[in-house]
Amino acid sequence: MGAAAIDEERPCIYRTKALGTIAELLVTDPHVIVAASTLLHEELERIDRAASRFRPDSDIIRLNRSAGSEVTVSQDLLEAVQVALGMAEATQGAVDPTVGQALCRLGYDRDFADVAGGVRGRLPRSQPAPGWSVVGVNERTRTVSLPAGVSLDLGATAKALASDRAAASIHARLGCGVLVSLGGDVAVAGPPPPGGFSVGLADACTERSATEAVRIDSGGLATSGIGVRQWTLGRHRVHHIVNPATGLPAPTCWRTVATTAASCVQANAASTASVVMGDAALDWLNSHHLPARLVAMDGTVHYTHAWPAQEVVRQAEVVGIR
Amino acid sequence: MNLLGPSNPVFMWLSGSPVTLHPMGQNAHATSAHLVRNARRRRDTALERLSTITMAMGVGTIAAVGALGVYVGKALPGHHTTTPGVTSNSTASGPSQSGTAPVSQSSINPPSTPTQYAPAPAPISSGSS
Repeated sequence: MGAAAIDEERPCIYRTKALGTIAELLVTDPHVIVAASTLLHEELERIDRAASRFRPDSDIIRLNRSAGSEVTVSQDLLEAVQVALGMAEATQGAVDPTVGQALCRLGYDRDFADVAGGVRGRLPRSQPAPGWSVVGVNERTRTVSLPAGVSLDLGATAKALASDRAAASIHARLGCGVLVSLGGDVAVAGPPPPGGFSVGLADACTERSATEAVRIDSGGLATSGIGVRQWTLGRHRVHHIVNPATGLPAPTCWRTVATTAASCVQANAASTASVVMGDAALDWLNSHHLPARLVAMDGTVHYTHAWPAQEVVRQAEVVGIR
Repeated sequence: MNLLGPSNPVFMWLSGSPVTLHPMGQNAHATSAHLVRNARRRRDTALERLSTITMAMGVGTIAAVGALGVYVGKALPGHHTTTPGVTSNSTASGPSQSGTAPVSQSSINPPSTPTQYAPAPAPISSGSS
């Protein structure tokens, strides 16, 4: 467990590596940081054991290997699959958990650290994902069934689900305000600190020099982009956000898309779907009244109508009318 | 041939309106029976009409109650819908181990509190990972 700095006056932040990325925890009561970090690690272990494609003993590995038959799964994986199917429905299939085989064909069939240096092979031919509606879920018997040849990847929702669960769990048990960020998938719960939960908007979640920030008091914020998780497949540069319609990396016009929503799961599904949708994303986000910030490949920044008007706020601050 | 016999009313067109001419020489008994028949016919017709109206009202009420039920079922929180691909044999998902996790989300909604501007830099950043 990493070191945690205690400060009586300010919210306390704990950072560690988890799920192949950075996990961050902010609590408004510094006295509970140790207990809160313990709860965070419990949630991280739960989601990793349930939904990691790269952990041999995970539930989803067993499910994917048993495609073609009905499999009894853990409550955690059942929930993760249900959430993934719900987000697939909400995004009209732009975010689809049945892209597991497509990712494997692109070489992403092992931990990203082993893929980042490049993999051998050729860019596969376009082949649509089977589609989320082929996945059968039975809550009563806690079973999931996949047709033969179908495998799930819950990368677009599982990490965000863990953020939501961890924030809610820590707030419920310890009573303080909580922010959990798993690789930039941010969830908040409980009373915010003075000034709110402030989150910077960067190309990569590890950047600390973000020049733009927003405050959220509920729900979640997530950023999706193609800049970090890239690798070479033979002579081709590929990334991890797959268009379910082609089974290939989405040829997007956005470098990153940051969205806030009622939960981190919803925010992450919306931002990932926006990368897949490309030009159509702005209209789609506006139709859902979602605050979003979209950075084009040339660095141009676009905002949806619900995003806070920063220039107006800055001017208001100058004249002291806020 | 008695064209004006008791059972042969004569129909004539006068000024464009149909008129029934009753045969001459009807006795009081025949008139009374005829009146009774007419009264019965009117009664039966009225009852038939009443029955039709009652049935229509019944069908209308059932349809209205059904429509209202569907509307209320969708409007009130806690209604249950089945996601395509999901066989739901239970009205509630199993308990989460933490008891606090959001489950079964199938829509995307904005946050319940507005997203606001904050001065940078912030202690936590959101970006690609």
